[in-house]
Amino acid sequence: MGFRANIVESEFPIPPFKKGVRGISSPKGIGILWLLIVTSFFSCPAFSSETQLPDNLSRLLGALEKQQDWRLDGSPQHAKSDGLFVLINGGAEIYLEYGFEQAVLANFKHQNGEALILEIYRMKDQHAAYGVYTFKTDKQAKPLAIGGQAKLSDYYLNLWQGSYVITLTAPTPGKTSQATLITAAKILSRAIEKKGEEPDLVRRFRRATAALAPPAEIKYVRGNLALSAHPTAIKNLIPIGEGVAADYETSQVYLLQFKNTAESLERYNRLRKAVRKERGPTSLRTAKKHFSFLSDENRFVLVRRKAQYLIVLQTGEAHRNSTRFTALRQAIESFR
Amino acid sequence: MTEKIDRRRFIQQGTAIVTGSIVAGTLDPAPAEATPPKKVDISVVQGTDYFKSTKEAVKLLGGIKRFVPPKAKVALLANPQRNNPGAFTSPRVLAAVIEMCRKAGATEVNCISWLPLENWQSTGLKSAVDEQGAKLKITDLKNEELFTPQAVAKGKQLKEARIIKSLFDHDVLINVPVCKDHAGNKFTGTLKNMMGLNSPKNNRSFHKKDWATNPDSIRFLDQCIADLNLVLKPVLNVVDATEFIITNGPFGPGKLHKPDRVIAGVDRVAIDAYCCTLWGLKAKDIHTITMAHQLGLGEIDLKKVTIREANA
Repeated sequence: MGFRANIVESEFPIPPFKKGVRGISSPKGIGILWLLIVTSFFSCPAFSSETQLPDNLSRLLGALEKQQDWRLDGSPQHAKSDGLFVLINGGAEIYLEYGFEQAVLANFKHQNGEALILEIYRMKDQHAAYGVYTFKTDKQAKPLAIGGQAKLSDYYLNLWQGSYVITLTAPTPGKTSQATLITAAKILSRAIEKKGEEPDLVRRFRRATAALAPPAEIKYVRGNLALSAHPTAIKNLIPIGEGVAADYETSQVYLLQFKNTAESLERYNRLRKAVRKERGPTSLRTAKKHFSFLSDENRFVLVRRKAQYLIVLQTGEAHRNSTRFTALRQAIESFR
Repeated sequence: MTEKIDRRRFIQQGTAIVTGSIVAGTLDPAPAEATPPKKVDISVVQGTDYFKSTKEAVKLLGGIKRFVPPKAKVALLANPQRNNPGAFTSPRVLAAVIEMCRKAGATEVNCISWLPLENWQSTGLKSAVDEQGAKLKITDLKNEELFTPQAVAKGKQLKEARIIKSLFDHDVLINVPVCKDHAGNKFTGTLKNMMGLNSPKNNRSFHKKDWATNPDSIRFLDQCIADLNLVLKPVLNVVDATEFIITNGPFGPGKLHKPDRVIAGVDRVAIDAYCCTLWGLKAKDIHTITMAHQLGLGEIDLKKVTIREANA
């Protein structure tokens, strides 16, 4: 199968030997094996079995090729832990923030002339994978009933299942059909055993807001980097542990979880102090259990602390007294 | 004829020396048609023929000979991120830059990088390099001996960079990035592309242990990028803003934006300040741009920048 071709380990960019080496039995194969052992011994002792593609990733690559008329185009590239900094140069931070283990990137060509880029990320746990998936997808994408969750955008598809996030992309938009991306995603999904569950925080958020129209999108956040991608007045002000960002079109909700009540209180006070310092003491309206202010973008921001959580609601100045915003506020304040 | 140039110094102070030399008349004078009637800081050319747009953008600045003296050895820094659409420098843009350099009389045009060959192949950039008669020089990123320590005396956070050694074999550095979204920095363009010349190990030092949770550590990362630009001064920047991702950057895939523009200029801060407006960002919100401006690396206020626009 095509995936037995050389795999490029991002930590060791010289093409290493392949996974299939273990199975070599022909005289020619044995000769190649000896040659590889000798050359790797003399060239660089750092080359080791680390350069083999792990079974789980190898199986996924194989699943696509086995069931379709796909063939690998070039060598797959593989990275683990910090090696991701080289593999997806500059794009690694967000994966590491959520908790990353391994990734493989490969180009495929179909016999009908279509092509696709396959990215498989194995994250540390299913919630890390879910978080990256929500970070990578947007509300314009079309939800699909594949795996744990999947969304189709114009020329690419993201799939979350268990500890995996998989992205399938048409290298040239329009030249690979969306149907092809969907078919490939279904094949890969079948090769992963567990579907996965959303994080507990997300499920509790959904329960608290079940009576409302569902948000346009939910993002699961595990660090400041993910949070800073959101257009909120509190970005870069709160180092957080875990959170949910939900977009209700005219309003946004941020539910941020901290280690304990002492930590949430400290963050609450720190944020209030920062807002007062940045915008002046008259900018704040403080009540018993919350404070509010107008952001630079003239958005009404309300911050409330509840046990180990901070709840931040944001809406346009024109919507702050609307029925929808009030209902949203009441719903999220019932969160437990 | 070309004066003898201390190459290392040239890389560090490229802009000043090339501009100064032209002003002093020590280099071959540029052809009359290449001399702009008025100083142009940034040129912006729109059109769907990216090869033509690139050449036109440089022409509006005064022509390639303003930047590449005859017999020069030219190093090009493109972004071969990988082949997700809108995540890498357009091969057509790079091809045009190579062709211009060669026509200007460069003896060597080399694309230097520590990213693997696969990236160059899958993006089509390797083909562009080959077709235009340039060379691809990939540095083994695992071998720190292939990177030269470079003190960053005026750096606020970064005190030492480690630059690809082969860069110092060249006379001229031209930066050919793609501008696009970036998850951490919100924007990547000329300034951040310089990390492609710094060793990956040193780039990692831009990330403090708590970079993922501490906002100050994210600013530290941005400051390091700005600081790195103190020791790397390309004589020219040609930015691919033809089609790029505005979400899920820098790797993609993400939402594509297609302004069909090529931007050229010397002032990296001004160029990045312009490019980020292409999808509604403001330079004042991008830390790397504001920090580079504070370091005196360029003009952030576009009202003070002479921008010449054209269609190709």
